[in-house]
Amino acid sequence: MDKHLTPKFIFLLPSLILIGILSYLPLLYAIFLSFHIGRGKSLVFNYFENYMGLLSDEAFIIAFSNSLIFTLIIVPCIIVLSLVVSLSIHKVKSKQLQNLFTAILFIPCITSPVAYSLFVKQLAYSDGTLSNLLRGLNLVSSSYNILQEVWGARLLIAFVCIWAWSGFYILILSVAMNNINPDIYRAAKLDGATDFIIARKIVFPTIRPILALITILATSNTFQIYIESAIITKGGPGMATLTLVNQLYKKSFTYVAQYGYSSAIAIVIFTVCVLVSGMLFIAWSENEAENR
Amino acid sequence: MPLVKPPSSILIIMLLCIATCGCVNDSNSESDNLVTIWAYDSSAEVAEKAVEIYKRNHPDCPYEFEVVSLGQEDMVEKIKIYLTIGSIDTLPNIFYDEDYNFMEYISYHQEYFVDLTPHISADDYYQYKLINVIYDDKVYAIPYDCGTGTLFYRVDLIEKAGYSEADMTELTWDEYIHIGQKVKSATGVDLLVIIPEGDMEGRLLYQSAGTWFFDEEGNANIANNPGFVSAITTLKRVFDSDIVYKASSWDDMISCIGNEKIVSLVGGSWWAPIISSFEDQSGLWRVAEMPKMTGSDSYSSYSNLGGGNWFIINKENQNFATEFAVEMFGNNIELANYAAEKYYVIPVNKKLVEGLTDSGTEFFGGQKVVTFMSETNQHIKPVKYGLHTYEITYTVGGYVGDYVNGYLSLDAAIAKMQTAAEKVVSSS
Repeated sequence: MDKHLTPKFIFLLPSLILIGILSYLPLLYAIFLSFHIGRGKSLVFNYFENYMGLLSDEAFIIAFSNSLIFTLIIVPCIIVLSLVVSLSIHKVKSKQLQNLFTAILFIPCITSPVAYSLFVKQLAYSDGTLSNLLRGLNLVSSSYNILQEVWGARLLIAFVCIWAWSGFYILILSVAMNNINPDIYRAAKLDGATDFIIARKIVFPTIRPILALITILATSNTFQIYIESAIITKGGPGMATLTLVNQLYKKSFTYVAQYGYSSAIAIVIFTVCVLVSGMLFIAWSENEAENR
Repeated sequence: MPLVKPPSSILIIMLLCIATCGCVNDSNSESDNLVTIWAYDSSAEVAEKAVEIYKRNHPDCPYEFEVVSLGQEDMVEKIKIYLTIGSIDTLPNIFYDEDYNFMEYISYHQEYFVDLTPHISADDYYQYKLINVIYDDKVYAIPYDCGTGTLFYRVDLIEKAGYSEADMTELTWDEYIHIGQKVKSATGVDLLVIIPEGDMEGRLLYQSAGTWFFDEEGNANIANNPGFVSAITTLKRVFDSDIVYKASSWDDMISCIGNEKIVSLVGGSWWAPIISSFEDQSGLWRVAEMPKMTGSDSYSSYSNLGGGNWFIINKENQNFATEFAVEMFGNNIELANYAAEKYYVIPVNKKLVEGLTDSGTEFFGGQKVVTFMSETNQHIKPVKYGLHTYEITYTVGGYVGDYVNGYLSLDAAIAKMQTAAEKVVSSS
């Protein structure tokens, strides 16, 4: 028996208690609620009916596919953009400039999402700056309203999310890249390697685990996108930008409250995120094993 | 030797515990004679004024008041949660909310609300408000104001096309569209602004035909509902005439009034204070009845959108709260005049309507707007809103938008809306 186990466990205990109370207990209760109907003290067990109800609910299906669309658009863009930007920052000689760039790019992440969403919403009004710009460049007709177009709204929200969240991943990648021993670069340059080959053969394999991590994080976060779509378009023209978390919120608070039903939505989101994260994790690890 | 000396680890744990415990608030120790009122927007201001008038009339009143002004969504969310978990202490004594939420509050949480039947005289109120505050044959809220469907228009712009005020009364939608086309070719300005999902204009039209998404029993009532079909085909005709400024959101609608992008607006009476806030357009606006659909005698020029009631929670001080609310919101003419003059709050109590003084509103060119709206009040067809208004509006609204924009045919749209409505009803 590890004689250091007890103090280690004592150290972990406060965090475990907090995470248990704030994350796992609500999760368990959500699972419990998703098998019931009713509210407050009058909960009635109704087996899988909430989940079956989800399958035949067009609003849920639309919300699910919208969340999926956002994930498929945003995640690759964020990964590619973060990679390219952090590689470029990595090339900069001065450490202070590197830190400065990273800090500037990170600022959107610590800005309130509500603040920048409201700002973008204002820009996108019919007589807002963005619309005037598009009209001035003659890209659109005079009665064009980007928030009223299905793909206009979606791409606008995707753009805002990519802008806002990339900084976080750029920061992580920059730190990962800085851990590479610079001597390797000198050796590679002596052997005549171009920047591209250095990136491919030296940088990528080293940061592969970090890349796996940010793919998983990005996918989970994007699938649960809420604030941007709720504020900029409130669910969009019709239901074009209605996301799963948005539908969950509506079913709990805006409409006649159906806590069991919205808990079922929450569990679906949770399951999808866990499965996708697991699959991504396995995919990245397999690649790693192959490369050895 | 242990990794960490016990005293340090215990100290750390103690610190964490103290930090967490220190964050726990004392439970609200209300003084025994506090009456809290929650409201949003202009209703909060009206509540403040009510408190002021009450204190003036009853200088020996031992109770303290607290008026909390919240955003509407915030307030509704809090109230729903507190009702669900039954935490009466955190609920206010009195709050204001829309008709559409009434059924949810009362049918699920009847025991938390005060039965106001002995205090409300049914004959004093218009039928269309009364049926939305009655549950189980008892009155559970004080009907307060309404959103009478009104046509607001710019008289200077219609004059440029040769029309006058007299031409704008008792219009049908087709006549209104025709005027819009002439005005647009004369001035280049769109006739009206609509958010294509049609949820506000749609609801106005459905009620003007005396119908709703659901019938009396609460079943989905879209597919075989001529009033409903007529409403959305009217909306489509309006859109197809190319005279509509498509707004994407609430703020967009407001800004297009200020930027003079529209000639008129069909909406609830609560648009009046919003339009009046654009002071540089003073004197240029007038009001008239909503346009009417044609095709049946049951279609009218009158409808309602919004407006709310005052609810009283069954908690401590409820007797006094009831007395206060009934006296001020139900019977006080001074308050009604104040609210009508400052915020265009149109009372739905016949006695209060009679007591209103209206010397004409300068913004609307001296027109007696408040009197006008109080009169249109009388003809509004009563429609029972039921439980699921917000959800069905959002779901159906999406399909109305698709139909109006041409993505769906009429039959496809109606079928989808009927299915969606049935799904909403069945899921409660």
